[in-house]
Amino acid sequence: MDRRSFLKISAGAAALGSAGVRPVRSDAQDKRTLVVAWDTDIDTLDPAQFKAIGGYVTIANCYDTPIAWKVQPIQGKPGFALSQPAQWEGAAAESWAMERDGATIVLKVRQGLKFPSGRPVTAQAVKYCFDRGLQSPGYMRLLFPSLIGVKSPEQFEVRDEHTFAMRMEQPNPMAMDILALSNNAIMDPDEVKAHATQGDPWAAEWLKRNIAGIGPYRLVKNEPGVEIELQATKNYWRPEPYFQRVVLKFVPNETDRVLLLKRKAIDMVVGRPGLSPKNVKSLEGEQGLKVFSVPDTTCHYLAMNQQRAPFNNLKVRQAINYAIPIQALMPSVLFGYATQMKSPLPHLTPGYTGNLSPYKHDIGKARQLMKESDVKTPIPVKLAVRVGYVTHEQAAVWLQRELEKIGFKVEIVKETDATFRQVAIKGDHELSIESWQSWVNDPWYHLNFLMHSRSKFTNASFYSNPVLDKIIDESLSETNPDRRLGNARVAQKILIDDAVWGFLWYDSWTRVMKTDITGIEKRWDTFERYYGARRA
Amino acid sequence: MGFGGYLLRRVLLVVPTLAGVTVISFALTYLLPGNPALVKAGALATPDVVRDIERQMGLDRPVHVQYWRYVSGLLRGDLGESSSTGRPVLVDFRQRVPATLELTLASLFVAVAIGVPLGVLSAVHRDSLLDHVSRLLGVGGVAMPSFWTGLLLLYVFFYLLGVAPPPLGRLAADVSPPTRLTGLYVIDAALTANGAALVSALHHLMLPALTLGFAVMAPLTRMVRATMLEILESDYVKAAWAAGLPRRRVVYGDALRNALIPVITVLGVIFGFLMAGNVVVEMVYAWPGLGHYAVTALVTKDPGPIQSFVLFVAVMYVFVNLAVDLLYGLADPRIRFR
Repeated sequence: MDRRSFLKISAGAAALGSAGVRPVRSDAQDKRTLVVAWDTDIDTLDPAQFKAIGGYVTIANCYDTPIAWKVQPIQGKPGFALSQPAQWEGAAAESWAMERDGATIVLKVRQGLKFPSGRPVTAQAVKYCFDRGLQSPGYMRLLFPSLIGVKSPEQFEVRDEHTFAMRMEQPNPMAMDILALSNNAIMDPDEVKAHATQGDPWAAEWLKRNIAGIGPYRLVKNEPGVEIELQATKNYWRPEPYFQRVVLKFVPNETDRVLLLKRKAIDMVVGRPGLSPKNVKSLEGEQGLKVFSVPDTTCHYLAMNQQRAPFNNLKVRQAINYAIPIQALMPSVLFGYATQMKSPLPHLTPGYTGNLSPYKHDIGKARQLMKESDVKTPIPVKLAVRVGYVTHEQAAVWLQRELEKIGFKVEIVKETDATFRQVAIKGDHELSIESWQSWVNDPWYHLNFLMHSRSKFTNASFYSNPVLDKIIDESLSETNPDRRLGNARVAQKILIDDAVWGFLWYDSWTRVMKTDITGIEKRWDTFERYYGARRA
Repeated sequence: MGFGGYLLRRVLLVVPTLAGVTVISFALTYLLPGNPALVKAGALATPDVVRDIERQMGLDRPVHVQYWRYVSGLLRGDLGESSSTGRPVLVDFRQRVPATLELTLASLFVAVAIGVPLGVLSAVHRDSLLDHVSRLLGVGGVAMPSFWTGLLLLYVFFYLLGVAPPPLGRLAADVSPPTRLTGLYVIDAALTANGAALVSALHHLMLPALTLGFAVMAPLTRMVRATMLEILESDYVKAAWAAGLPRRRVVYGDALRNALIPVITVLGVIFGFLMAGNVVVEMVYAWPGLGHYAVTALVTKDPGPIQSFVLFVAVMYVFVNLAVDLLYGLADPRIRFR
């Protein structure tokens, strides 16, 4: 290449490059399009089986459930609404009634509601979906029998074209919340059956990638790693949503999400967490953006494996609770977007008692308890956290420092999701930072999974107490509210006295968005539905 | 044996190499800690559900059966399924490989287009200001991690100046992808004369390609500079100067042509660096290639995507090395195919 041709090529390349430079235009400028950034794909669209946030949010926006959690505006936070305990509203079912003192729930299917195929939504369709939930692999096969005593498809009954009934063995206060879960998405039975095969009678394979029901939005594009696009459903029973399109952009890097917000190239960042508390803090007061944060039910705790020494020693567990530097974690790691955990129950859950815990940061008291425990120090211990869980990684460093003051020699081990889960379930973690969010805001749903000795995969501390197991078993279907909540207090007292976890914090549900976005709703399961959102 | 025989022998040698690669990619996922069935089952799973999933995924079978299942699947074009996208890995690859290749090739272009002239100029103007600047750029490219360079470029050109597009993929939201021929948007748009898509694709490619190209430019510049210096001192160049040939012809005609021979080898190595560097740059620019896909698969220990990614990179390496060997033979008449 001679110099002249080199210069020609360089000039050509520069011209081509500069031709591409033009003012940035984005979807966010189209008023009726909501552009959201997150970092999740749709793992599956089967309502019984999704695990990823992408799967859940898409299903929650594209399928109707029989009933839904009702949201109410929040005082002092215009433009936002929250679900309240024991408040529901009709969805695919326009109303409901209780029989046999609440042991049978009767749903009246909405008149005139049609699937995209044009076939009407009927009680038979509702029964088919519940039958499928109970018999195909997934959440409902676990939740129905163990929590509300629904074990056989015969307990689902079609009374007429628009009347469906679910017969439980006895009344259960959790039943309505379980019915509101997105796992009970109402699907078109003919559509599902058309894609069933002998080896896959419930068409789980087809439903992974297809939607067979009706909801406020329909999925028009799913390009993993790029974007998901939802479009408002025409002739739907709810009022037409303001946002005709919702584009969920896949942005894996958090710094990009911050820059996109600051540049107003997107309307909002969602996900769990979507933005770390530190970045949310940095966006507070940014012109054109607003931060919405409300207390929520996601628990973060230090699991202490009680099958292993020295964590089988009550004094050691109590000492650790006195060594947790919560007053430092709140401002330095969580930047105020969290609430101190004072009970194994979330602080928004009925029955929560916040004044039972004696624990506060007191190294003197912790040292004294360690002395009383008769455990030889220094104690080498591994503290496991998941890679990429920023607040856990940072909290681990604070915990390490404080625990070393009371005789531990802490090594922080970072593990990928797959490794973390495997090691946890095998019982090989000594100390680990765990998190949990109960979709159903009920004390016994929560304690059943986290504290019952039979909950092998979710009881991360391997806590085993026959007295508590009995209380949980009795309370799961207890209908007397006084006894139900009274038992919750007894259970919390036992668990706090036993220092079952190192009590850390409850996350706040936090979203950063453009100032003109309103109508944001948060329900118990924490996943957004966009049909109430609008631009002011 | 002529070129044809040599080519045939080299291509046949690829077969055992690829067989070895399948063993390694399988062994990697097998030996990595973590149980993918647990991740797939989710938080609320029970032990029977996990056992069911293990059975479905064949994880309960002996190692050799699992390996055979993997290889026979490969031969049928079945690479397994991704648990994060719920789609066959082959479908995901068809979508993502062109994005990664486009970025890799564009970065290679940037590295060559800037690196080679810079190397030549540094050699010709040895120890001048230009030479020092070029050295500084080279050291900077190697020393600065590309996620940092990427963020810096984004901050300046997207956030502050607003001339770069938002890091939201390969095309602007209002531009439809060009008709698919190769999957590389720039090429497809150029071939189908789709001006809007071409401009948008180049616009979106600009910063990622610059970031990645900058990171691999240094070895190229240094190599060109070193070889050029050596050649400029050689007898035939001196003879050319003495014969009074024009400077341009001596430097760019006689010297550079010979200096480019080792550059071909370096390009093969650089290509490897680019494949690895892609992972980071794709994350920074939300570039929908294989990078983030592979990282997610590693975190969740998703066997299909991990094995396929390792296999893909290995195959690319094998073929790039093969191409380098062949090009080398073509470029250097002293090399005989035996």
